[in-house]
Parts: sequence; structure tokens; C-alpha cells
Amino acid sequence: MIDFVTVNELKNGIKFKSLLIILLLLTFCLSGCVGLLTESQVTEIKKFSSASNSYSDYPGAVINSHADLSFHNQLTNASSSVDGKNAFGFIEKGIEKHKRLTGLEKRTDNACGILRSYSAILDKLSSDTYTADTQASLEKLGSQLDHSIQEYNEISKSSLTTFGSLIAATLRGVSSIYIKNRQHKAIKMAVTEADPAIEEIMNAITELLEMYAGENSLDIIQAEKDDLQTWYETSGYKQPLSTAIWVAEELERIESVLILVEKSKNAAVNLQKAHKILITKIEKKTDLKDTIEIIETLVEEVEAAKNFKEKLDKKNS
Amino acid sequence: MVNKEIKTVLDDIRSLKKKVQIRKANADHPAKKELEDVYIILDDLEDDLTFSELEKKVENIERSSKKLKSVIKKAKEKSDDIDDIVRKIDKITDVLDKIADIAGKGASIV
Repeated sequence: MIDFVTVNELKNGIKFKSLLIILLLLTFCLSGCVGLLTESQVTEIKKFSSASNSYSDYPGAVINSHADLSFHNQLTNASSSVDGKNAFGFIEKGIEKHKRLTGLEKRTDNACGILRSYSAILDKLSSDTYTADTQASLEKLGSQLDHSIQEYNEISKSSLTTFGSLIAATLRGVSSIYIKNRQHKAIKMAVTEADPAIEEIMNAITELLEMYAGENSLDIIQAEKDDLQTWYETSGYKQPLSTAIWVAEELERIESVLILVEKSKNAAVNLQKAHKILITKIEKKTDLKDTIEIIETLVEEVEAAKNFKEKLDKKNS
Repeated sequence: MVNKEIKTVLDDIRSLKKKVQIRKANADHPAKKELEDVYIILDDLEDDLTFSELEKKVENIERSSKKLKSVIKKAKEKSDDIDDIVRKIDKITDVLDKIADIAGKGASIV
């Protein structure tokens, strides 16, 4: 048999939930009904931002390897030079080239760092820290309100029901929906407006990488390899075993750079595609699946508010 | 796309460099020093062409990154707006908090 108190508690629970749903729907519609940031959108954003974050280092790494390879090749020229002055000139040129290339590497790193900044802002806009921050201050309010009512009840011998947790939970639900709606709008603006720039920056990076290796490229890496090979075949082979070991290491390094160039070029294409998918995911008109997900998000918010209320109730009891 | 003409010139220079380096390695060659001087000139030419192209590509990346920067700035403003809403909610709850406290204290005085 269900006792009277349990039925009352059940009724209160249902009333609170209904009130919350109505309020949340009202907030949702008043804020434009454009959408809420859903879990699958957040997942898509996280996927993209993690990929673009790690990608931003690749182009600079290619230039860095070029700097080292060309510096070493100038040193090999110096080691087999027929004239002391020329030999010194090769060393100086090696240092100068290395400086110029590391300068270009830094500029590329700085420019590509913008992809990291873009990932960071997408991460921030899709994070739940905003709602978490509100929850903390509302938790304090709920406790304070209930504490004051209890104090009043004790002094005036009244039996006013504490409602602090109810107010705090309702505010939590409403503010959370409102904030998630604002987040959705902000992300939609960001990804839509960023797309042409993302396309342009990825094309510019691809053009730089195409200088190094691949079809229609200037074959910069292959040229460094050819220089090394010609030097070893004509003079280097007369050197001790340590030189052969060093050349083997250089060849391995060249192979790694060539792989990095190819992978970076492919990744640039995929990153552009991923961004387009992200836009579709965030921008598209809501179909049944999306509507269900938005409702699920609303339900999640209702549940979160209800749990929050229960947590406050427990804390205040 | 990489300029085909530059690629052709570069290929010619590289091929000449190789020939000169092979000749220079011949111990009996009478003009080894001169061959090395030619090699240095060819190497400088190759560098000039490569660097000018690299500079252009890096400048393109810098230019396009500036466009993304302006979008990020706008997104940052939106994020600040949301932060502002959170701060406002925080302020409202703080005020309500104080009212509740005053009400509680008032009740105890009464």
C-alpha cells in the first residue's frame, strides 16, 4: 500500500516536472526556437577541434626538417671542398639558410596557430562551463532561501514549506536552456563565417606543402636527398663508418619528412571536409532525428534541474 | 599550383649542379676550384628561386590566417556575451541571496 505522504511527494514531483517543462519550452521558444546545442553537435565540434589543434604543427615541422637537411648538406659541401675559403663559405651559407628557414617556420607556426585559437573558441562555446558556473551560484541561493525560511519557521513557530530548492532548480533549467540556445547561435555564426577562411588557409598550407613533395611540386626534399646522394657517391664514401651511419640517419629523416608532407596534404583536405560536415551538422534545418535530439536535450535539462533540486533538498534537510 | 616554368629552371639548375659535383670529384680534373665556384653560383640560384617561392606561400598562409582571426574575434565577443549572461545570473542570485538573508534576519528580529 502506498501511504499518503508518498503519493503527495509523487504529485509534487510531477507538478514540478510539468512546470519545469513548460518554463523550459517557453524559454526555448522565446529565445528564437533556432535550436539547442545537442550532444552530437558537441561531439562533432570536439572531433574537429582536436584534429585542427594537432594539425597546426605539421607545416612548421616540414619547414624545420628542410632547414636541418639543407644545413647538413652545406656542411657536407664544406667537408669535401677543394678550397678553404669556399669551405668556410659553405658553413656560413648553411647557417644563413638555417636561419632563414627557421624564420619562415616561425611565421608559418604563428599563422597556423590561428587554427589552435579557432579550436579553443569552438571548445569554449560548446563547453558546459557556462551552465556549471550558474549552477554553483544557484545552489548557494537555494540553500540560503531554505535556510532563511527554516529560521523564520523556528522563530515564528510557522510551518512554511521551504521552496528555495524549487526556485533554484527552476532558474537552473531556464538559464541553462537560454545559455545553450545562445551557445548554439554563437557556434552557428562562428563555423559559418569561418568556413571560407578555413578553406583559404588549408589551400594556402597545401600550396606550401606542394613545394616540398608530390605531383607538380618543386621537389625540395627530393633535391636535398639528391645533393646528399651525389656528395656521398663522389666524396662522402671515402669518409669513416660514422659518416655512413650519419647518411643512413639522414635518409631515414628524409623518408619521414616525405611521409609527413603527404599526410599533411591529405589531412588538409580532410580537415576542410570535416569543417563542412560540422556546418551541415550545426546549420541544417531540423529533421525528425534532430528534433528528437533537441527534445532529449530539453529532457536532460529537466532531469538535471530535478536532480539539482533533489540535491539541494537533501543538503537543506 | 607550383609554377611550371620555375620547376623547369630548377630542374636544369639541379641537373647542372650534379654534373659539376661529379666532375669536381675527379681527382685529375685541372679546374676543380673553378668547378666549385660554378657549383656555388648554381646553388645560390637554386636557393634564390626556392626561397622566393617559399616566402610567397608563407605570406599566403599569413594572409588567410588574418581572415580567420577576425571570425575568432567575433566568436570571442559572443562568448563574452554568454559570460556576461552568466555573470548577470550570478549577480541576480547574489541579490536574491542577500534578500533572503535579510528576510531571515528580519524574521529573527521580529
